[in-house]
Amino acid sequence: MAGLERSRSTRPGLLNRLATFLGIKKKEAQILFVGLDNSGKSTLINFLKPDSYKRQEVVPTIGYSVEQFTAGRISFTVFDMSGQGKSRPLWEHYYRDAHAVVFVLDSTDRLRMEVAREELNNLLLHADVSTRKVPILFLANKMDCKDALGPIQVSVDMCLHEINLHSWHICATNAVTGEGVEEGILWLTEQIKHRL
Amino acid sequence: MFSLLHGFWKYAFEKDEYCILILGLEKAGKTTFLEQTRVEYCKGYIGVPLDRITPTVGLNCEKITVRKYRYLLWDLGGQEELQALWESYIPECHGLIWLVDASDKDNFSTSRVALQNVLERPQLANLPLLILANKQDLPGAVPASEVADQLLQNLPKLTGIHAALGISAISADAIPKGFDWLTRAIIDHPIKPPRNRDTI
Repeated sequence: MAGLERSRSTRPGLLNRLATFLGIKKKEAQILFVGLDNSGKSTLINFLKPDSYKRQEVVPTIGYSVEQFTAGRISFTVFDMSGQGKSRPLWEHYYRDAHAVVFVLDSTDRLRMEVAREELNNLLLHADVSTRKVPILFLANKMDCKDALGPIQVSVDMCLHEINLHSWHICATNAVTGEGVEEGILWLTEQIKHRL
Repeated sequence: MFSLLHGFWKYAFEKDEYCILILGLEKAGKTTFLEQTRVEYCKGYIGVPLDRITPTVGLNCEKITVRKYRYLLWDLGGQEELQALWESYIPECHGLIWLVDASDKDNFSTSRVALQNVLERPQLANLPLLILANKQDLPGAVPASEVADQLLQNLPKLTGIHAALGISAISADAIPKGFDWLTRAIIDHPIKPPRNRDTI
C-alpha cells in the first residue's frame, strides 16, 4: 500500500502516440485526491475501481498510492494522497500535472472543518493551481452518518464562495455504498474532457 | 528598465477584464447558456452534450474574450439553498445576467422576488442588468419584453441600464447579441474599473 502501487511511464512512446492518433487509446486524466486524514479518500477510490481490484479493507494511506480506473471512456490515473498532517506538504508536488483536484471532506467532522479550510487555502494559493484552470470537486463524505452536515452547510463552512477562478462542484457522498460519487465524477469528466 | 518594459507590455496588450454573474432560478438554463457561450467564444471547444448537463451545486466559471475585452463568467447554482452563495460574488461583479424560463409563467413571480432580493444590494446599483428570456424555442414562451415587464414591476430602485432579450440557449443564436449589448453597456457606462489582473 505504501508508496507507488502501479507505476506508469509518463513519457509517450511512439506506439502510444500512434494509438492516440488512431483514436484507439483512451484519453488519460490525472486526478489528485486530497483531504484530511480519515475523510475517506481511499474508500472512495476503492469504490471507483473495478470489482476484481477492490480491496476488502482500507487502511490509512502513508505517502501516497496511485490507482487507475476507467470511466466514461477516459482512463483516470488517481493520486491518492495521504491526509495525515505530516504528509500534507507532499500534495503540492502533484498540483502541476493534475487535470483536476478532488477534495474529500468528512462532513461529520465539524471541528476540523477549519483545518480543511486552511489546507484548501494553501492549495488555492499555490502557484501551480492559481495560475491554471483546475476544476475542484468537493465530496462531502459520510453523508450516511446521523450528524453529517448537508453539502450547502459544508460549502458555507469551507467558504467555498471565495473561490472565483476555478469551477467547483460539491456533492454529498457515501463512500461505502458509492452514493453520490457517480454524479461527482460525471461532473468532473465533463469539466476536463475537452482539455485532455 | 524591466518594470518600464513590463508596464508598456501591459499597456499595449493587456485586456480589460470584467466579471459577469449569471443568475436565475434553478432550471432556467444558466449552465446551458454558459456552455453555449463557451462554444461560441472559445476556439476549439467542443462542448458538453447539452442533455448531460447536471444541476449546478457550486460554481462553473469560464473566461471568454469578446473583441478586446475579457469576461470572467460565473454561473452559480439557482436552487433556493444555494442562493446564499450568490452574496459573496456580488461585490466583485461588473454586470448581471438574469435568466428566466420564459415558457413557465408560474415561475415569474418567484423569479421576480429573487431578482429583487439581489438588486437590493448597494454594490449592484447602477450596474447593467441583462434579462434573458430563455427557452424561446418552446411553445407558449412569453416574449422578452413582457417577461421584463413582469420581473421589473414594483422596482423603483432600478437605476442602472437594463435590457431584455429573448434567447434559446439550445440553439444559441442570440448569445452574441447579448454580449454585444453587455459590452456596450459596461464600456459606455463605466461604473467600476476593470478587475486588475495583477491582483488575481
